[in-house]
Amino acid sequence: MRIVFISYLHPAVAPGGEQQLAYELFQAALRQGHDAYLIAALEAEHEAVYGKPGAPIVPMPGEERQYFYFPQRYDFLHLSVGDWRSVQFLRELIERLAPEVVHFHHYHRVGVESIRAARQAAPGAVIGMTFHEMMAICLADGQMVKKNSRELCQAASPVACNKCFPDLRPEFVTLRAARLQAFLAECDVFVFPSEFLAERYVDWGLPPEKCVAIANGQVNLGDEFDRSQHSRQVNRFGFFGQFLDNKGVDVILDALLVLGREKRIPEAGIVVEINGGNKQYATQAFLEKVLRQTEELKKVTTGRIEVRERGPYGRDQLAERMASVDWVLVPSTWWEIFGLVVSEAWMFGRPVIASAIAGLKERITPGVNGFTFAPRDARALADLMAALAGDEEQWSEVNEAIEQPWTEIEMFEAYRSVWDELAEQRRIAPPAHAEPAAAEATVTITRSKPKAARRGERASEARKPTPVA
Amino acid sequence: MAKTFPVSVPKFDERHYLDVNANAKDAIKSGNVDGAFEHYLRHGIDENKYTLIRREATTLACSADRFLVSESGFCLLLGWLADEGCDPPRFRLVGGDFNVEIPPTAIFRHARKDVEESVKGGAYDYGFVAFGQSPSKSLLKQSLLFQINSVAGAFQTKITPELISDKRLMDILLQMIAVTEAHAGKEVTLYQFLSGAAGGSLVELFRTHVAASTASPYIERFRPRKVSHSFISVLFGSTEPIKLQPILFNAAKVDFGEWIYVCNSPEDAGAVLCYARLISDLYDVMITVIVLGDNAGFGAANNVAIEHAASDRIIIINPDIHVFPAHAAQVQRVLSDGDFGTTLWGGLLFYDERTLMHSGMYIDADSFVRRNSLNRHDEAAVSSCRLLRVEHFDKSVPFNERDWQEPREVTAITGAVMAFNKAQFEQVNGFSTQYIYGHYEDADLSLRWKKSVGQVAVHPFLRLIHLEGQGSRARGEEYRGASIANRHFFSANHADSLDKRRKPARPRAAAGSDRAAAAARGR
Repeated sequence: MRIVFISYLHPAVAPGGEQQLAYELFQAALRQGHDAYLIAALEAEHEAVYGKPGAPIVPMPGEERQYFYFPQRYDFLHLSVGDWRSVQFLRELIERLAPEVVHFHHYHRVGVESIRAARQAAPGAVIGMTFHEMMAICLADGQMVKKNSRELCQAASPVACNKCFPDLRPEFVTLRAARLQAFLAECDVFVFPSEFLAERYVDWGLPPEKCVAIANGQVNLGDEFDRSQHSRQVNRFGFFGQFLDNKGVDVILDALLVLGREKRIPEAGIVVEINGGNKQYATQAFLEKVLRQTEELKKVTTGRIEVRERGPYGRDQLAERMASVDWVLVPSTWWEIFGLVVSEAWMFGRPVIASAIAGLKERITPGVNGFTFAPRDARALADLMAALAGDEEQWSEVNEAIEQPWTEIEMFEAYRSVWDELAEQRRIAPPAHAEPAAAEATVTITRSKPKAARRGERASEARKPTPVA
Repeated sequence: MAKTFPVSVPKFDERHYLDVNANAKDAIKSGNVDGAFEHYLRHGIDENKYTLIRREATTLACSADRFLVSESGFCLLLGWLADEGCDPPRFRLVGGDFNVEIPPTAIFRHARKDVEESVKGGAYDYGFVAFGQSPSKSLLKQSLLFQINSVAGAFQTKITPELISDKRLMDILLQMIAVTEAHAGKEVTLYQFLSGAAGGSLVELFRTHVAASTASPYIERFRPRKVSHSFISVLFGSTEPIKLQPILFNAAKVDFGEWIYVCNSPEDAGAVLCYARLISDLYDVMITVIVLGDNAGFGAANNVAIEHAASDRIIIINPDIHVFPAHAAQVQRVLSDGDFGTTLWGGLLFYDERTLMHSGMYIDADSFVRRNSLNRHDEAAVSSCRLLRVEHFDKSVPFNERDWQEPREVTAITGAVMAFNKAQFEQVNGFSTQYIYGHYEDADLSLRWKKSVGQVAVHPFLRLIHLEGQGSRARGEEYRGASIANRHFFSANHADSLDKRRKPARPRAAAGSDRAAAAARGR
């Protein structure tokens, strides 16, 4: 099968979950013997380093089958590339590659116009889109966290969005959504890593019969790791991820303050390791808050709580960093879509203590493969930390129950089964004039199905869902 | 009878006075005055016909703040004059060998809070705006003496012009019209100004600007082909519409034939051309972009677009008009139906909440009366005026499907959606370019259409969304000033078109409505 993957960014240029996933799918496709290509749309700032004069698309230096794309005239409001020349070059490249599948992993920077261009370039191909955030729904970087109050936004609406963006009239929100949906309608299938995300997009207006949930998979880095290993005191907690406002480092510090003030610190003490990068993208207000919390913590805990900031880490450092902790904290304060950190923790047999929200809530069964607490509730987290620190029995019980997360090969095979089914449908009833496939032609359930998809499902015994790993 | 101060003039020569003043003789004969001396005291001194009494020249407090002269010889003089209690002053520009009289109809007086606070206080219109055109482009482009004369006093100062473009001068005047207030009543004051020589000059100034802006438009057609109808949208200050409209109409399966975007803000041309080509390429549709030299306004821009349209069936679609997917099939049938006949068709427009926004327009009026006792009693001044107002039927009214099964004839329709045949449009010479930038040209076209072409009607199945006022970024005060001026021009042109002052009767069914309705509903 010839597959073209299109992503926003490339992990070799800028690390991040979406581009890592797209890259691993691409690698998995090659390993499984498919003819795969990856086109990564980069930021404008990357063009000076990787671009070549007059070329909107260039081969990735030193690599085969991989391209960097530099779309011009990008309009973030509409997630639109307004430059016909950029889109034309992309169309011509896809045309030349003649894929059977074009799978997008983002529309940001890529531009929604590229979906239509892909349809023109490969009229018979299956076109898919995996969503990794809610940027189409929410202008606040797709986070659905209210800009002023930082409250979680339950649903986008013209009035609610205007509250966050007073310069944009409510009607604009409606028109923007209609435009995005017009372009997205070219896709045959929409893939979501969690049911939560699928439901959000169906509520926003995507047809449920095109929606499929496929859990993210990853290259397993823990094959040679001793999963049963833990510290003697079982009192070491680790944070892994981006040091950004919505990732919840402040919730951890607040929880530690609660333990310190109420003198509930276990006899052996608590160690928290913060493994986080991209701090430069955190807001100043957030960093100041963290600084205040850290200073106060020193006053109230008299040294029995130790917080170590270990900074960013590469994937090759993950095993060493995971070995240093017993429990992994995922205290996200936004709608965490999937939680790749959970998969990483599970690779190494680390029990997770996470906010009960969105994709995290779906994946973690409390007391079985981890623990959850109410999002943003520092006291609830404090209670969990106090109860779990030093509890070797509980740790071992959960450690043994944790299954290995999906690998990138398993994930790829799940995607492939969806594409195969859609390709077969297109062979039986090819759409006229390269128009997008009719909505009723695409129903696929793979490995996991979102509740949203069930609404439009044509169930068949042959497509029994398998739970998400 | 009220007593006045006793005045003695020892050198008064009664015989001489009567010899030089025939009016005095008549007044004595008719008994209006008792004698020559009384006539002299009550009239002669003010009329200055017998210069027996020597006057000490009084200098009026005045400031000429700005003197602007444009490339085509239009001039604008802004300042203030403390002439409360004086007889009407004369304004004059004096050059080396020439004088230019500025007539009262070229001047409007307005309130100046800053002068009121520092000079005398009180509700007197100290400010003045004098505007007109010199017959020569260069005559006023030099230092001049600015003189103000009244019997009570005078003022004179040297002024040097700021040389600016026609457009900038026009915008400054329009901004003044927008932001100034008058104790005497803004509408009445402006009425006198705009219905006189100044109004004519302002229209001339705008037409000069329009001619320059539309002289050599840049036109590019993407994927040209034979089409049965042409959509036309005028862009100003925003490229959003071209990003949205063709995509959404196409997604709703409405065939727009050719979509002409007229770019009234050339700074947006690059983005508009780029998107036009992109969308044209992606969906294989015809899009034409016309870039004007500057903002020529709604009417002139549409005139240019219609002149270059690839078809004879025209649909003017404001950049803030969108389509309801639920009504798209009806709209498509209207477009497919063939001839628009001699009718000027309007759309049935909705807010996005699906309540009605427009189902035709009628003409109403407001009355305004001059006020404020501090301003002089000037018999030449207009004491009241009536200005026409254009109102929409059914604004924010819930939509009832049963009410809208056939076309309805109306007084006027909004320019947001208009459908017509090109030949009939040319028969009325298109949109009037008298209306500056935008507003009232649609009602003006409707009224002229009705007089000389055919009926004006709302099509029951041309159902679209109108996000009123959101298609462009006309946010400067000059656009508000233009709208105010246009109302005066429209009132002057169509004073006899006033609908009944009472709530007008519901529009009646349009002639031939059965055929049109049947066609629109589908056979």
